[in-house]
Amino acid sequence: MDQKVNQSQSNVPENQDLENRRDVVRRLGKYAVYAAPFTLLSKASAIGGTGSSSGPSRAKPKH
Amino acid sequence: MLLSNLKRLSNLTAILVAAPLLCLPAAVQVNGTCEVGTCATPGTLNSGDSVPSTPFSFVFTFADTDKYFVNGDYSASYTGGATHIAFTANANYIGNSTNTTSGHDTLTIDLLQDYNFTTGSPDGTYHSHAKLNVPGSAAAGSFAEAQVFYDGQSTGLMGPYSGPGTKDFFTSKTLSGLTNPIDVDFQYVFNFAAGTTAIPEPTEAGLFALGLIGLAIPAVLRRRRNRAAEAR
Repeated sequence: MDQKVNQSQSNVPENQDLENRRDVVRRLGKYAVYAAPFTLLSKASAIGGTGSSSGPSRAKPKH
Repeated sequence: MLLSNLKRLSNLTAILVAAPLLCLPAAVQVNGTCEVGTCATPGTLNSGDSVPSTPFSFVFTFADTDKYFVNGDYSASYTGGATHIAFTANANYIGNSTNTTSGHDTLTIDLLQDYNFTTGSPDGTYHSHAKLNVPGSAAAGSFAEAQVFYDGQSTGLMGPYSGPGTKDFFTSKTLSGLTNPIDVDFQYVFNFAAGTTAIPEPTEAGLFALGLIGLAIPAVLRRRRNRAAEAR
């Protein structure tokens, strides 16, 4: 019985630690949300271009 | 102080990104200044060679201290007797030493790549495409244009496009007199009219966010610990 009580008591800090970690993850998620607008803003305000070029394509010889 | 720290971080990022690219073919220059690779002697692709999609980023600073974050990626190949080159580039104004809007700045960004035709002539028809992007937030008068040169011969000017939004341009031209190896130059011109507002550079903003997170974690843990101690 004493052993069970001791186990139960020792679980309190572990649960607390787990809760702390979960809380940190939740907060990290919030900060990620705050950081996202910076990235989106910079992408939206860039002057840019995307393109390609290829060749040569030659005219087929006449028979 | 913050700007100088950000500049150091950005330079470090540019070095870290550019270092692995030094040994790869192709080169990128801005207004004649080589930023990626060796512009005087860009790599030469022989038949069957290819350059995989390669990202790049760097900060380009004008004499008046206006700074631009330039990023994008490129790839190239020479297979089946035909060349192919793809190039994406974006430029953002990220501020200057007086924390004011930009002056009138023009960035000419060239992707350089050589091709060695071992069989057949390089003469023939070349096709080019560019999707240009000019946001509504750009200062009035800003524009973008693109052009691809083979041994100095253009396949045709794509643009100028002043936005807002994106627009596709297509050109094709039959070129003759090309000599082996041919020098290919995929060129973008980004014209920023005076009055462009600075925005945070993406990498710096990310590093800034990471810094905030780094500061927040110990504070959160400390507060939780204190609460737990009080509860006991």
